Amino acid sequence: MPIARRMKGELSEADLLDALRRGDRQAFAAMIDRCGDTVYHVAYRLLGSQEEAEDILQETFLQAFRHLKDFRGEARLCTWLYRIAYNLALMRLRRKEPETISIDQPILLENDEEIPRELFDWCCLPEEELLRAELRSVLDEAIRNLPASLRTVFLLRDVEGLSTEEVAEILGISTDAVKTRLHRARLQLRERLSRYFSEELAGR
Amino acid sequence: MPPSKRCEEWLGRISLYLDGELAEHLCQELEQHLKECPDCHVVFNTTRRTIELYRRYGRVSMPEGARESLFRALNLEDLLREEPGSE
Ligand SMILES: [Zn+2]
Repeated sequence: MPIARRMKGELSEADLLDALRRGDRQAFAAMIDRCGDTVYHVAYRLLGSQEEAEDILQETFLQAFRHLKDFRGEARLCTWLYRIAYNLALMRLRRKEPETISIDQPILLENDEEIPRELFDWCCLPEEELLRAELRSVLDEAIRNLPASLRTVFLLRDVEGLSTEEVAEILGISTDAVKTRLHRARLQLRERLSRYFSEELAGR
Repeated sequence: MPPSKRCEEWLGRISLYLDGELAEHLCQELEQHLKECPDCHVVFNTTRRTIELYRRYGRVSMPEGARESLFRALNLEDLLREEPGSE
């Protein structure tokens, strides 16, 4: 069955894969629609530059389409793409900053940002209050300052909403490691946001 | 002031709790602790809010220009204008 239109959510994974294997161009476009944003997001958060994220985006899809026959259908198609994107971005990051990247190693327990210190209670301030404080750039800055190993787990689990198992598969780590890193990422981000909001908003 | 040792143990479990993965009897104990301990209560609430804010505002999608170059690189530029889900 040729794909007349590419309907984002409606085409089943199996039908899409069949169409891709037949070389159906609509299916290629559908795959970009389906997985492209997250591919870009992973690359952008790891590399911190739009230009490099665009490179990885292209490399990922080129590589995926070239190696479609290797895809055995055990994971979701998008999961497979995210894994390719992650590995490409990681390779580039290692080239750029060889000294900072120990992404696969266990993280040392010395980061004291995981012991909550900032106890300003901003949880229930109305969103307009928080938005006034240039929320987006604050969020960006905080996530950029996370160690890369925590950053990727957080963005895939909490921002993109992937499951623990999927994230483990993409990063090639255990599900327990995903859970630990997620927890640490959340606490570190909380600490940074709290510090920021307490300076900006406390006592007004 | 950093929370006490006991508090640290509870705070170590808030992610599991938020993800619905904490054993039931521990959930109840945690909830009880949050009621009694204002510090942990703040940490819990602000952690939850942190996640919410990122869910809502932390997403990044392909810029239109990046999407166009991608379609072009794959010789799909004729399909560029067909938006997902459109008739
Ligand atoms: Zn406590």
